[in-house]
Amino acid sequence: MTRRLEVADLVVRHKTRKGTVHAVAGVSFEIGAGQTLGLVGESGCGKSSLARAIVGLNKPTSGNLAINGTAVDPRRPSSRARDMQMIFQDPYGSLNPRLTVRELVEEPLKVHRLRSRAERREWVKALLDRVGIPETMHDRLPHQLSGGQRQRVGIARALALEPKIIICDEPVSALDVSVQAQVLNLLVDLQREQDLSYLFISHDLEVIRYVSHWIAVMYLGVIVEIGPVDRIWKSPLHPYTRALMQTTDNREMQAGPEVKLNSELPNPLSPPSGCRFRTRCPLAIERCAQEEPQLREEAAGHKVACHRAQEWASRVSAAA
Amino acid sequence: MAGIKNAQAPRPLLDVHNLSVAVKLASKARAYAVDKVSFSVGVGETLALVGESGAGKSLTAMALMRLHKAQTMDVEADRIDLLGRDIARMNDREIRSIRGSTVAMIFQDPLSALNPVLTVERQLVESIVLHNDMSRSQARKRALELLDMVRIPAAGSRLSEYSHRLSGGMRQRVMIAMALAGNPKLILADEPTTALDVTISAQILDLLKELQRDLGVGMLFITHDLHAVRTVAHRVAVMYSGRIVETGDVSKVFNDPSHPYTEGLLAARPHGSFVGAAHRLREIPGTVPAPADRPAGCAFAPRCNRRTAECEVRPPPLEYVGPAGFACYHPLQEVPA
Repeated sequence: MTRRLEVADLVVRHKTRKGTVHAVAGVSFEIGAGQTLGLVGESGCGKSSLARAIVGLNKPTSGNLAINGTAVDPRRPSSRARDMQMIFQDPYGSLNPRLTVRELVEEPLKVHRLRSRAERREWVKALLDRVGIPETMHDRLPHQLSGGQRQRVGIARALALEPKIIICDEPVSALDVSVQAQVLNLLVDLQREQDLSYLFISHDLEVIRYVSHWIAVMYLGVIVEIGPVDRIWKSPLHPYTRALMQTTDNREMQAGPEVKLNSELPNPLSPPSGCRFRTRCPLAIERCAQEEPQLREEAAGHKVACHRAQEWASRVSAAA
Repeated sequence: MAGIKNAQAPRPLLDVHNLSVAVKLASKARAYAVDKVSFSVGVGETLALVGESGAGKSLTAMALMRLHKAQTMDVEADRIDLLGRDIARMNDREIRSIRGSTVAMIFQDPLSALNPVLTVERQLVESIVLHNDMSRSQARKRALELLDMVRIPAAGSRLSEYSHRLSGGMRQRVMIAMALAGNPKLILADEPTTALDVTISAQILDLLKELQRDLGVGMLFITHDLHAVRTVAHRVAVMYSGRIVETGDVSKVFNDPSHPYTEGLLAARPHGSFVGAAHRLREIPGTVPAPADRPAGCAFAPRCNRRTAECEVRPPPLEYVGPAGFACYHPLQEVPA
């Protein structure tokens, strides 16, 4: 598996009036060619900050990025625009309301001074064809399209520069169920055709499970569990992942500690000492308050940051 | 199929007959955003109205409480029986006396539903005093009780907070406490968990379910979230383009749907992983028609793979078989000819 995108120790701090928020507090992962890493977590856990920092919309405080094995400067977004593009949750807010569909998709090509005018026209038509926007709509404005069509235009625009990495930030969350399926199928098909790599962010676990090869669970700026989709779905080890799974219709989860959350995300301005999840964790012990658990590998590729994971890891894996 | 309307043994709490909401369009034409829906909610029962955006779910609830935009919309109904009284014939003053007392509402966005310049205490006490014969000090005590009931930790210290200082989950709990202030018999919950995170939404659903059971109130639960329906509702009515296309017990409708739209909606949700099975999600082609562009026959016909010429003539009536009903000429249980 070739490593398409490597992220190492990425830190994003936002300064606010009340102090500094560590939105992303040291995150590392890699995504292979043609693979999807699904990223889940509650709002405020830093998933969007992470996405924006990777794509270059926010400047990360520190950390390293490598694309196809070559290090890129994470603070210079222009260096990676042709390798990496983003699809947003709200295509209405991310499309210029005064440009037609055709102009919207052509814009990135103009900015990067690629292709002749005739070639651009051909290419834009081919892209819009591929995402399923009929030619009669190419001269419409974003407000004349339905939500699903706008998201298709957003996808065509992201593909205009033929990047190999697409960061999808909640691309289907604002869409109705029947339209969601259309957009998810399109994204999956495009991945197969063009060998794309996705970082796919969503709070919807079932959507994440459907599109992902790997799943990472984020909590207050750190990844608490990461692993192949089947492992995370069937034998999650982190109590937070288990709590998330209990909000779905997941009936395949192996027996293990029952985790029900009764409280809310703590203030990100002052995250708890030690394990960040301990204030909501029914399994927390003294050690959790003193020592921050590090991600450690419990099975092939399956990493968990929990002091108590090992206690039931053998039990959960044996059942799996 | 014999169209036997099943009369439920105990008298329902809310019984709606042919409720329609007509939207006045610019060209003096009218379009029915809600088109003759009938349903009932029993005592201690939760009915989920489920559908995609534009299906007319929220409008239905708003119209029941006469909270629709009167300048642009007209509400028509044969009968809306609430505890045996026809609220469709009531005047505005009578309706106002029901709002918040007999029938309470919980909205999707508590931040805009709560008053930003009043403390939680002021708002709660206000609605308690309004609906109960209590002094302010009694009401204050009751306010604390209610906050405890909706499981707000350290309720006493929350009383002096303003709504914008609370988290989304806490706001929704305050909203629920306010809804309970008038000792309602029926709660209209309009997408109460849509704006919340999954873990918080699970807590709120649990809370609603418990309160509903303990207090024995009826609930009309409006949502687009099929998982939430499974969690809280006893019965479900699936809406499509202003009409109810299928209704019945949650387990029946979800496990053995009759209407192609219900089946399509359930199949469109991701279930499983494309990596392992390489399966595609089932799409429902096209989009929901706007009320003004609704076809003459079945509204779902243009997107349906079972349609025949018959479907395009007249909308299929909602026919009942026992407690379950569906509006389709070619239900899934039909043996293909």
